[in-house]
Amino acid sequence: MLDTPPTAWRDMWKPEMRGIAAINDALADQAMQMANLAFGRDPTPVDDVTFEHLTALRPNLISLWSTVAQAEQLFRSGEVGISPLWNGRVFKLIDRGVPLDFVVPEEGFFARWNAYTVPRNAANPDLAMEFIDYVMNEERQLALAVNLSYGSPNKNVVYPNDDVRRRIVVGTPENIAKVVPENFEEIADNSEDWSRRWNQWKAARGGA
Amino acid sequence: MLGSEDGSWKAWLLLLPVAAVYAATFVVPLGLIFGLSLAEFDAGVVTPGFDLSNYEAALTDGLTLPILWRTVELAAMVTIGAAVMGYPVALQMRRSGPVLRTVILALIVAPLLTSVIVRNVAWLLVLGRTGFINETLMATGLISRPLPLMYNNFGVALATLHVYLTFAALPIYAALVSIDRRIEESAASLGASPSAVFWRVTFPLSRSGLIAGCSLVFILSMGLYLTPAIMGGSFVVTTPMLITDLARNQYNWPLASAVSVLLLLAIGLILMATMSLQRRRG
Repeated sequence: MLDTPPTAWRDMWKPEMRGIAAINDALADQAMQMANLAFGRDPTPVDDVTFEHLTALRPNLISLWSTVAQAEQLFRSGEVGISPLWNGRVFKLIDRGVPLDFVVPEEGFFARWNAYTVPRNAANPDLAMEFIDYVMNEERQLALAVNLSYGSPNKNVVYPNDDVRRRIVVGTPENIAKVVPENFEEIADNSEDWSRRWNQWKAARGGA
Repeated sequence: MLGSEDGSWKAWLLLLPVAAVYAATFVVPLGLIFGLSLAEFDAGVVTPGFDLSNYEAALTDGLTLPILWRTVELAAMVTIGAAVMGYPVALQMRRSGPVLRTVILALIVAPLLTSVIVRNVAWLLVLGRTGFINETLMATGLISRPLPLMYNNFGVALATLHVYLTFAALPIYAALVSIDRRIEESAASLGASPSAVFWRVTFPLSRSGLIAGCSLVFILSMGLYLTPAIMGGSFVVTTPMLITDLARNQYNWPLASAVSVLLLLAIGLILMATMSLQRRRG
């Protein structure tokens, strides 16, 4: 669908992407920060300029997606040619023969992680810690890395080959250097305002 | 009626189970939502109280009201479509024999039997940029770039109409079959043309079914959530989507409750207005 593979977030704004781009509605905070990255800004603040850029992107957007299944369907059916999507899902689609590739954008990218938390006053804190030890063990972390492309924080995990490292994305030093840190405190403090502006932007007429 | 001499108060006992279910699953939650809408919300902390600030916030944020208006517009589009398309279906069902009637019934009920997600994803294959309508038109050279058949109000309204048509058609059909054919025959034998029979006899007598059907479709359409998310590509934002965002992403349950109450109020007001208009005309 694309003659030249994109290399940067900014490529989504190109005229040839008209009507074939999609972004994530479910994690809209990342989409807004991405618009900042694409124009050489820091991820925050999300402000009028951010939304000017998002509005400029609007003719290129065919859809926003709110579940991964929906994003996968948009790629599989050929509706969408470019969209941010989680690496693990992209490589699963590639394995199933969908003509896709995963690109690490020049401007950098956001990496989020899952955290195990033992709540204060938990009924079985020891058992919970034992569970965390269990899942963080090398063998299981390796299985997650190989099968689902999740990078592991366990330094004893050795990824078996370059393909696995490429799929994990944060499996190579060059890519780790491109991770843009997110200010979660700022995101949480502004989520109400960002969300309101995002909804306003979505509902604005004369877009898609 | 209550306490009538034939002992029919016993019939009221039969309503107890359904009353209990409604109380537990409808009246109580509704009361909780109403109570929550008056609570105070500050930085994630909910303080019960009697406070109209959530309503004030909803009415002045420049977002809730425009989206509510767009939801009403979308529901009106679906309702008008369902009435215009459902009426002829009901008429045809009345005119047909039992076999054809069953076939029509099966056709209009079938969409209800499929999962909402499967149905909406299937529309992608028909209406999408690379769906078969666009592919065919592009191949024949009639258009040079794909028509925007979905990811907008049109796509959402069409996909909704597909399912809700039956909620308009069936009440209209029920009203039509209860019309005494002799009234229409009398009108015809007294010299009324077929169109005069329809507009002056059949249509007025079926109006109660039409209103019931339209009300059902309208109420259901005001609650649209999944179809706009998928068919509208999230660009069609409805009030239920806004409520979900407030409740699930922002954890602002008091504001989400206030918007829910406003939605309920809007539906109630519009239905009451329609009914009173009808009563004045009828």
